[in-house]
Amino acid sequence: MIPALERAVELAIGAMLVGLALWSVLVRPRFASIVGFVVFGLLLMLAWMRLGAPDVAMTEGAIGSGLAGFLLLSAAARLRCSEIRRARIGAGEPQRARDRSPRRSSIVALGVGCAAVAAALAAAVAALPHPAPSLAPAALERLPELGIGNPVSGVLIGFRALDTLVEKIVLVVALVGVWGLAAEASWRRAPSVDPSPEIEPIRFLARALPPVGIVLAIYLLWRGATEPGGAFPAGAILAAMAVLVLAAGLGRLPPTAARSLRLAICAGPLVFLGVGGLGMGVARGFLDYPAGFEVLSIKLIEVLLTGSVAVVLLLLVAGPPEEAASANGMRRPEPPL
Amino acid sequence: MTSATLFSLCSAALVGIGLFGLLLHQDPLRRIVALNVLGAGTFLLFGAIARRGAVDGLPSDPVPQAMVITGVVVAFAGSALAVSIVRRLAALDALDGPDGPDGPDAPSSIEPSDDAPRDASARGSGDSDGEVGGKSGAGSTGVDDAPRRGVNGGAFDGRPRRSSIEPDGRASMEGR
Repeated sequence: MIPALERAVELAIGAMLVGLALWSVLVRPRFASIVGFVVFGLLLMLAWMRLGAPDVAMTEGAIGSGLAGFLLLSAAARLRCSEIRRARIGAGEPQRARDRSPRRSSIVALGVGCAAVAAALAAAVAALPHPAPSLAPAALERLPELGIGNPVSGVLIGFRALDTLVEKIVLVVALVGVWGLAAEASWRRAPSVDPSPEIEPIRFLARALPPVGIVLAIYLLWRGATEPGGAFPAGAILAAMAVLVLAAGLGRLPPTAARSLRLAICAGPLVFLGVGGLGMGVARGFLDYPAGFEVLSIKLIEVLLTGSVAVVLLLLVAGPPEEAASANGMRRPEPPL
Repeated sequence: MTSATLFSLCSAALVGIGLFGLLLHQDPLRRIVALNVLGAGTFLLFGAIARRGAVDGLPSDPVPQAMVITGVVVAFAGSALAVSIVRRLAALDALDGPDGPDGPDAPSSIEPSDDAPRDASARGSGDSDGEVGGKSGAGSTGVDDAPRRGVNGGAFDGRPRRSSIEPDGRASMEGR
């Protein structure tokens, strides 16, 4: 592409990003704000592509925009239901009064302060050292030892494997936190994804898309060794397919007490820990893969991680088990098959 | 201006906007959205710095990229936890309404320990709540477990009302 045109495209992406961020922060209705945020996330993918980071672009699009968008939209729908209910019984008025925005002068002061933070950040970026420090040469140099060709996957699963391992554990801990918010009556029961009100198109998509999505996820997982892709985007796509099927009312989640579900959640981190611990015996230390078996170890970890990531992301979207809501919600939208 | 410079300036603006929204709003869901904008700005700044570390054969430094991928997933987990807390708080708020002083079932005189009328209403209205009503009735001699039962008994109380409100909520959302 012509450099001037590239610059123009990047300027347009940057301007739209700032505009959409302002929109999703300032616009009054909650739904408009969240939809703005989803579009913001999709545009962010383009920004990441322009920054030469397709792996990040895929993760951002699938998780930061897709799954987070669904999570926020369904939460907004639920909040709206409970607000309507509160308003009907007349208990919503004090809440409304409390939610009234603060005084104009304090908003202006807040805006000036935040603009100052942004300006300070911009100044700090302008003062970054030249030439920039980079770990890219070191990563490229040691990459052949891992036997995979994608440097980002190499960093994720090899050089900085500890980060990835701890992140997996953080995901499980977050899920424990979410489940811990269940009311005691619904504890150990099945969580559910809110069914869509427009059921027919969703049903069609839920039947048509998952085969494509599953193949795409396997492809991304496999290609992640040499090309952009890997366990995170693959897991996120699988989770998105499952959310689609659940939102169409074509399936339901097992109860949180199910042993198989708990095993699926823990399998990825446990195998990661196991292979990492094995490294202390047969290699140079924790999370060092045994010589000659690097590719095998990495593939084993990645496949199991993809499954666990998909299950945990899906369950994070579904939220804590709510027996009452799920029983009604699942029964209501099911027309005769 | 390189693309790294352009997007680092953009990310600085995003951080400012996200921070503004985070501090401005009282609605927790709007705060979560603003926090995500703030996070996206932070990640983008990291990405722009990674872009500056490009070498021959790599358009961007892979180490910050890997960290951003980790960060995006962790930020999502944090958002999911926050959303669950907001949903739970809203559910508890909704319970306060009908079971509190405005509630249709509430008696005119409110006792300090209001679990007795709650049990009565659960038993009276319950088609499916019989078991629970019985359970709370059996436990009602103990004063110390009143708060726990307040939450759970309320969750069961709320079930039929919630289901009756949901279609209206959905319908009005579609209308918007």
